[in-house]
Formats: sequence, C-alpha cells, structure tokens
Amino acid sequence: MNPGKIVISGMGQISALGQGLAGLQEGLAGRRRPWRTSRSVKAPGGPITVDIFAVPDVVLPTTLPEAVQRRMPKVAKMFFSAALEALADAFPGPSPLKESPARVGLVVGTAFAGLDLSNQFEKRLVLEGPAGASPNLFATSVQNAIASSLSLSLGIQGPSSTVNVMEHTTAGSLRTAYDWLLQDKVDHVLVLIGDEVSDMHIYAMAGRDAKAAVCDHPLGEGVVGFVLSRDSAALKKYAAIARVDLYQADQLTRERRLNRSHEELYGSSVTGSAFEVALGCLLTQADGRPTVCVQISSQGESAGVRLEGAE
Amino acid sequence: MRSSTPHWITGLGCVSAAGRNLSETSAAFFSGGSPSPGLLDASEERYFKLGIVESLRLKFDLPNAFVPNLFALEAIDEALAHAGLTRADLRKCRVGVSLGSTVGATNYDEDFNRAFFAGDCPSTDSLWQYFKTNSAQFVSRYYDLTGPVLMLNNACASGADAIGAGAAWLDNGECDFVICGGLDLIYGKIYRGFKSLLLCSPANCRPFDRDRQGLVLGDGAGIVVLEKAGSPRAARALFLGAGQGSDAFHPTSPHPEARGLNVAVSMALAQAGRRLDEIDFINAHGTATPHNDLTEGRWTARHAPRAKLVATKGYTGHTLGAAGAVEAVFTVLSLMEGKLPASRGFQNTDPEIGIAPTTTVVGGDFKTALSFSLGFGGANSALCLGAAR
Repeated sequence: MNPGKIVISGMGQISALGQGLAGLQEGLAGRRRPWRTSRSVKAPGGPITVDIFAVPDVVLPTTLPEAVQRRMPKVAKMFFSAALEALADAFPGPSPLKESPARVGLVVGTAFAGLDLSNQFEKRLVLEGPAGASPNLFATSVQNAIASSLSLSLGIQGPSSTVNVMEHTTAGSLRTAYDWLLQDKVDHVLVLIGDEVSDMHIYAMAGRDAKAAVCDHPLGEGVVGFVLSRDSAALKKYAAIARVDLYQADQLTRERRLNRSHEELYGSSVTGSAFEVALGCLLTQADGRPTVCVQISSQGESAGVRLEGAE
Repeated sequence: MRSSTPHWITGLGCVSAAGRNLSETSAAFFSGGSPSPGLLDASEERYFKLGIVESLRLKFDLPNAFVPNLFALEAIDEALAHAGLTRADLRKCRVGVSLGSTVGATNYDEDFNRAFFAGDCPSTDSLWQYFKTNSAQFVSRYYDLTGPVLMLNNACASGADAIGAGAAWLDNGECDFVICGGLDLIYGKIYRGFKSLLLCSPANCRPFDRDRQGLVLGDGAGIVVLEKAGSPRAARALFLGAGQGSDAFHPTSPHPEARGLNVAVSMALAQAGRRLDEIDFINAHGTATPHNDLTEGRWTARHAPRAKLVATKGYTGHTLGAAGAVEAVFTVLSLMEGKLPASRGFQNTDPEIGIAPTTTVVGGDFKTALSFSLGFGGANSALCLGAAR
C-alpha cells in the first residue's frame, strides 16, 4: 500500500506570542510582539536577572477536570494546549481518536522537559531525604510522562514516543512520525515539540556565559503542535513533508531556508526550530514555494525538514 | 503494513548483570555459569550496579564521560566486532545511531542536584555535559559517523523502540546500517522512586512466580547492528517487525486487558507477515511486579498458549530504558543457539496467571520469536525476530 504524501494537516502553538496559531500568524505579519518578562535567578557568579519570552498563562478547556489541571506543571499544560489546538485544527468534525484510536500516534519532542520533570521529584528527595520520595512526583518525573498524560487524556492508543536529540529534536520528532506514516502503522500522528525555560536552564547558561543569558534574543519557551497525516486521510493541508533529514541537511536545496530566522518572535530555544517549521508551513501554504527548515547542532551537524506545497 | 523487512541483524553487544559480554551472558544462560566476579555489586540500595565503570573509563580514555554512554560504547564495540566491522568500515558507510534510554536523557549528577536544590551554587560543568552529550549524538561523534541520529525516551520500551526506528531508516534507504539499542544507569534517585511506588523487591526478583515481590533494578546496555538483507556480513538473526501501542490507561500500571500490548503485537506481526501461532517463544518483559506479570502472563496464556515464555530479569535486573534492547539481544542469542534459558527466580505458577515460564534450559528449532517491553506511561513495544538459518 502506497501511503502517498505525508502532509501537515493541523497546527497549534503556545508561546510568548500567546495561545493559538493566530498569535504566530500575527507575529509573522508584524502585528504582535512577544510577551517579555524578567526573572531573577541565582547564578554561579551571584544572582542575575534575565529577560525571557515567556508563556504568560495557559488556559485549558474546562473539559479537563480542574483537579487534573491543578496538578499539571506549566510545561505539561503548554503541551496540552498545543495538542488540543492542533487536533481541533486537523479534525473539525469527528475525531479519528473516537473511531480508530490505535491508528493515531503521538510524538513528544523536548530537550529539557524531561530534566524539569525529573527535578521536581529530585528536589523533594534532596530537601526532605528518602521520606520525601513522592510516588506521584516520581511517576511524572519519567521522561515520557507528558506523552503518557496526553495519550491517557486524549485516548491515543497507537505508538507513542518521546524524542530528545537536543538541537535536532524537531527533525527527530518529525522523522519518527513520518516513518510511522510511511510504514502505514498509523493514519495520523500528533507531534508536539517544545520546552519551558527553567531556573536550572538559566543557571547553566549563566554559568557558562552570562551574556548568553541576557542576549538580544532572550530565552524563549513554547510548544508547537503538528498533526501529520497520510494525504488521503487529511482534511486540511498546510504543506507536504518532502523529506526529513537527520544529518547533512545543509545539503537540502537552498530554496527559502529558515534557520533561527524568526527568533525575535519566539526567543532562543533548543527546540525553537519547531516554530520555524510552523512558520515554514504558513509560508508554503501561502505561496506554494518550498521551504527548508534547518537545525544546526552545537557541533555543527545539521538536520532539517523540506516542506512543499500540499496540492 | 509497508516494509522492506526482513533486515539482517549482523552484530550483537551486551553488558548487564548477566555478563559483561555475549560469551559471559551465554554461559550464564545456557551453561549454568555465574556472572564474573567483580561484575555485580548488589548495593545496599539493592540494585545491580556494573562494577566496571573505572575500567571502561580507562579502556575508552574518557575520564569524564557520562557513565551510561560508557556502557553503550562497551556494547557497541562488541556488536561491531561481532559483525566484523572495523572503524575503517564505518567511515566508508552511512551509519545511523538510534538509541533509547531513560537516565541517559537526564542529568544524573546527584552531587550537583543536591547542592543546587539546597540553594548552593555548584559548578555547571555536569549540566553542560548533559546538554552536550546526548547519548546518540555522543556515539555518532565518538565513531565519527555520518548518518541519522535519534534518541528516544519511552520509559522501559525505549530500547525496543529505538531498534524499530532504526529499522525504518533501512526501509527508506536512509543509511547502510544502523547501530541501535538501549542503555541505562541506575542510581539512588531512580531506586528511591521505584521504592516509593512499592515496586522494589526485598529479595531477588521472581518473574511470573506466585510469590513475586517486585523488581530489582540493574545497569545495562544492549546493541544490535541492523543491515539490509544481502549484506556481505553474516546474518545472526532477522529483524522481522516492530510495533508500538499505548494503553491510554494509567501512568504506572498496565491496562488490565493489555490494550496497548495488543496493538503493539498486531503491528509487529503485520510488519513481519507472521501469525501469532507461528511464534515459538516470547521473551517477556517479566519485571516480577504483580501487575506487569499478571497482564503479560494472562495475555500470553490467552493469545499465544503454544509459545514458550522466557523471563530474563532474574539474571539482569530491570535495566529500564535498556531492557528492550538487552532482551532483543537475548532473544537473538536464543534463536542463534536454539536454546532458551531457565527463567531464574521462577518457582511456583501463579494460579491467577495460569502459565509458567521456562524453568530449565530448553532446546528447540526456534524460528520466530517476540520480545515484549511494557513501560511507564502505558508504553508497549513488541519486536518480532527470526532465526537466520
């Protein structure tokens, strides 16, 4: 069975531009600026204050019980927000999650959420000793905890994975979903990529280079949601994924090429390239021209995604 | 299901409490051998530590390396040698790296964390080491490889999932071969976490036993070299298919009807082009926790009663993110040798499960096997592997 093209059929986002894809579109059009805030944190050389492109607040639908929302850390709420928006965008009518939940997969891509979640458990353990070992916090400290709570809440029964390849997390996440679709293991994959700015992250940045923590483009946080679908199963099409390269992506064609090109909208983030892919989808959808989104690692290796018109 | 399988498994490498290499593991499994002196260190927190870290630092000349990465390098070195691949061979090919881990994807420096959370200002070196040494990227850079790189964190299914992801790259012609598998390190925080969930056994673990009391954790790494069929190297076994499914049920307990495992097995068999009644044996996840073994055992009794059941965590402990890969290596060893190990720790059949794993070494003409991994978060993976003969 030929799966045909793989397309991006739904998107969602939450960032300093607000909650919802409209914020990103308005940012791209120059009509909205990111929400900038300051945070004072300890640092190896003494306390510092850094600017952050932060997510101000996350509003989740009341269908998610309040007690559940109260227990969710901010980073998990961000992932939920992007997930719900992307699914609603891709499936305005009946959701395939009702009809064939095993044919829907889930990929969570994050560089630091695993560290942040893990820290919540460890902090209690450090401060309170073995008696502070909380089973609930341990369960949510596992790196796939966000994927787990998403699959549980949304009823996703197909494959689920959490990807962390640092700067190549965006390409790695999209590639994982793309392969499942090519293999016809699923009809759709919800892909969520993002990170939260944590105190430990700022501490690390400040410890290495104080300037890095207070640079022109502040650290940014946010999550982008994509629904990848087999062409025949898609109701809406932003762009087709022509290829996802996990190495030597700088050999991809030099057509419109995005590489941290819009950091002034979402801030500096290891997984910020997910925003470039979302913006690439919007640009390709608008003019039909291919877009290449490249991610360069700290060691100079490149990964990337090539988007083409879906029609 | 679209796939160009079977792919060839041409090399294996493994380091765990069962042995620091394939031959020690094979001896422990099939000849009644015991693990090498000095390899095991059942610490006061009761988990299997591999007492080989310092020797690995010297061997690889990496005095400050992230410990789980050392385990991975040891297993990879063995797998490459097993496949007959040299470093020169690696440079001529596009070689992918697909690894899975849990601890391998976080900062395990307890000294740093203790100081940081207590309000001190420790050096950020270990944080930067964590940022810069994502295990899969580290391996690719260490061997100077050019090929796709992926790191998966899917709890205890991570290693199996990484093998499935690597196989997909071969399907799509992304690389010539793939180094894939899993690695993990156990340390105090992890032990405390499992203990808080009341999952740790006070004695050695007893998978599927009526009187099982929980799991014992253990360090480990398992690696397979996957290549397209027709490679000039010898096939040790066949990779036939991989499947993954989600329980969508509970953060730490499996679905009582094994919903996600059903999806995973169906997907793996569909890719493999096999039926359940063709499966000769199943390498169970078999953690020896009450819920896991009940779910997995009942599923096997109901759906694959003809298949023999093997549980190997009595030898290794639960190696978490490495387990799926370590046990894929064990499954291949059994296919190669035509022998299944005894399921160490098992004594009495649990009437609620109604099925018993192997209790002695069992010989047979085993052609096709499944290896299961069930993880926190409702992650389930199944690998379908076949004999090369």
